[in-house]
Amino acid sequence: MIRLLRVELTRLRWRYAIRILVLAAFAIVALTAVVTIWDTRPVSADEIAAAEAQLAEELQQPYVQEELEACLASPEDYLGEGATETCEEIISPQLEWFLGRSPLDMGELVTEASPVIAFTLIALLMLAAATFAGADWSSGSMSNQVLFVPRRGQVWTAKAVAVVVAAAIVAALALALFWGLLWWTASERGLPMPPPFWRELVSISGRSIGLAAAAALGGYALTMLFRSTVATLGLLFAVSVVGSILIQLIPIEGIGRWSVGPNVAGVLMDGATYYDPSLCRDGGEECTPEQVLTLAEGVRYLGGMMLLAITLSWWSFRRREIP
Amino acid sequence: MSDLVIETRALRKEFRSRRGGVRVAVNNLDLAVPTGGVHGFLGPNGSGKTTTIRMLLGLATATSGDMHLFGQAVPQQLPEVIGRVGAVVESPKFAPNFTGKQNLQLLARSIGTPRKQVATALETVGLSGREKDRYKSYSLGMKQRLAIAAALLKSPSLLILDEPTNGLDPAGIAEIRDTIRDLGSTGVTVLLSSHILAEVQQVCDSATIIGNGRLLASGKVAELIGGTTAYRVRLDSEAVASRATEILSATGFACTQEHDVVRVDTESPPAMLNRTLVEHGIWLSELTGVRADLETIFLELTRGESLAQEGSHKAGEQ
Repeated sequence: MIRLLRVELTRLRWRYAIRILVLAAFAIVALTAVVTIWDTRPVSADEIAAAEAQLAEELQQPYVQEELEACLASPEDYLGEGATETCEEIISPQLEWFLGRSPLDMGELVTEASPVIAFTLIALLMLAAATFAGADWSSGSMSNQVLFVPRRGQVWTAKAVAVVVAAAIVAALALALFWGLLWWTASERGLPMPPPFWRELVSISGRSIGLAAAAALGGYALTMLFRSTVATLGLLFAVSVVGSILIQLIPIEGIGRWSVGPNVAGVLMDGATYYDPSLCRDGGEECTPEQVLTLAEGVRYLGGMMLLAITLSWWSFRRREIP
Repeated sequence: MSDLVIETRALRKEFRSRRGGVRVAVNNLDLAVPTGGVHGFLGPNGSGKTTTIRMLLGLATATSGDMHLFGQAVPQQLPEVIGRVGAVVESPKFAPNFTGKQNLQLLARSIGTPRKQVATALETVGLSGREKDRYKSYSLGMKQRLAIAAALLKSPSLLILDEPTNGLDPAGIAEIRDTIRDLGSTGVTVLLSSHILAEVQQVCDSATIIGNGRLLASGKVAELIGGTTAYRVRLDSEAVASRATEILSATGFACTQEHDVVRVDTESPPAMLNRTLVEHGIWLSELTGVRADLETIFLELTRGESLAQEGSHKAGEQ
C-alpha cells in the first residue's frame, strides 16, 4: 500500500495540469497577501495633511452643524436605544474618514481573509484532484494500472490518500505563505498580534486545510465515479449554482439550510450566518431570514455528502468494467 | 496440476443494450492454452477475442463460465497470478504527457520491479534512444512497442498480446515477431491474438480459431492446416493435360485443368497418381503437393460461421 501511495504521489507530481493548478493557488494567495499589504500600508505625512485639510473644510459645512444639533435634540432617532456612541462620533466628520484606508488589523483579517483564501484553495484543489483522476480515464491508462495491481480497492485508496495528503500539504503551505507574508509585514510595522489572534488563526487554518483536503477527496471520488473531469465539474456547477437557485424557488420552509455555501462557511468559521428567504415568504413581522448554521451541522451535512460520494465511487470502481 | 496456462470452460459474455437487447460476444467458449510456446488466437473482427482477453485479465466480468490462469480461478485469484502475466490489450494506453520511461517507471514501481528492468524492457523493444520523449510524440509503432515493454516489465511466464504488430513498419513487425518467437522458445507462453493469419502461421505453435464468440477449431498449427490434400501435375502441353484429366477423372480422381497443369484433390499418395498416368503412357513434368494454409482453413471455418449467423438472422426476421 505504501508503495502504491508513493507511486500515486509521484504521478500527481508529474502531471502538468496539477503543477499549474498548484502554482495558480500559490500565485493567487500571494497576490491576495500583497494586495492586502498594499491596501493597509501606513499613511504618509502628506496624506495626513491632505486628510486634515479635507476634514477642516467639511467641518465648516453648515449641514454638519445642523445635523449635529438635530441629533443632540433627539439622540434616540439617530443612535437608537442603548447606543454607546455619541452624536459627535456619528455625525461629526472624523480624520480617518478622509485617510482612504485602514491600518493592518491582523485580528480582523483572520475572519475576513480566511474565507477568501479557503474558497480559493477548495476550488483549485478540487479541480486538481478531478483532473488527476480524469486523466487516468481519458488516456485509458487506468486499465494498465489495474493490469499491474488488480486489487482495485487498493488502487482507489492509494490514489485517494495521495490526493488528500497532497491537498493538505499544498493548503498548509499556501496558508503559511499568506499568513507568513502578513505576519512579517505586521512585525515590520510594529503591529500587535495578541494570543487570541494566534488561537483563531490556528483554528481557522486547520479547518481550511481540512476542507481543502475533503474537497480534493470529493472531486477525486466523483471523477472516479463518472470517469470524466467534465462530468464532475458539471455536477459541481449544477449543485453550487443551479442548486442554489432552485433552493431559492422551492417553497419549503427552511430549505436554505441545505445550500452548500452556508454549510462550508459554517465549518470554516465555526458557525456562520446565512440568509434563508424561504422563512419569510409569508412576510410575517416576526420573521427572521438570517439563520445561524453551526460547525456541527455543517460537518454533518458535508460529511454525509462525502460519505455518499466515496461509497458510490468505491463500489463503482470495484464493480464496473474498465475500458 | 493442469499443464494449461489458460483455460476457460463455457465462458460467456453478454452485453445488454439500454433498449433491453442482448448481444452475445463470447458464447460457451472452451479455450485451452498449453504451457510453453506461442499460441495463436484467431478470429474475425468482433469475434470475441479481445473480450475474452479482457475477461481473463479482470478488466471485464464474465456473464457465466469458468476461467483459470496457471490453474487458479480468475478473477477470484487474479491478484495471486497477475504478477506472472504481461499483457497488451487493444491499443496502447499510457499518460500522454509523461515520457515513455516515466510511464514504465510508474508501472514498475507499483509492483516493486527494479528500476534496471525498465531500461532492459525499453532496450528489448528498441526504444532506448527515445525513452525521454513524451508518449504523445510517439508514432503508433513506438506506442505499440512501449506497450510490449510494459508487458515485459514483470518478466512474465505468460504474455498476452492483442494485435501487437498493429501500426508497426515491416522492420518493426519482423523484430516483434522475432521477440515473440524468442520468448516462446525460452519458456514463456505467449497468447498472440491476431487477425494476420500469416503471422500466426509463422510464429505460433498452436492456435485457437473463434467466430461469433464460439470455438471453431483448436490445435497445433500443423494439425489445423493438415497434410497435403491436393497435387499440381504439370504436363508437356495443354493437350496432354486434357488427356491426363480424362484419364484421372475416369479413374475416380477429382481434377481441374488449367492450361498445362492439372490440380488433383485426393488423399491418395502421389505415387498412385504417377503410376496411373504412366500406365497410360503419360510422363509427368512436375508433381507438387498443395498444402492448405491457415488462411484457407480460417476462411472456411469463419465462412461457415457467417452463413450460420446469416441463417439465424433470416430465421429471426421471418
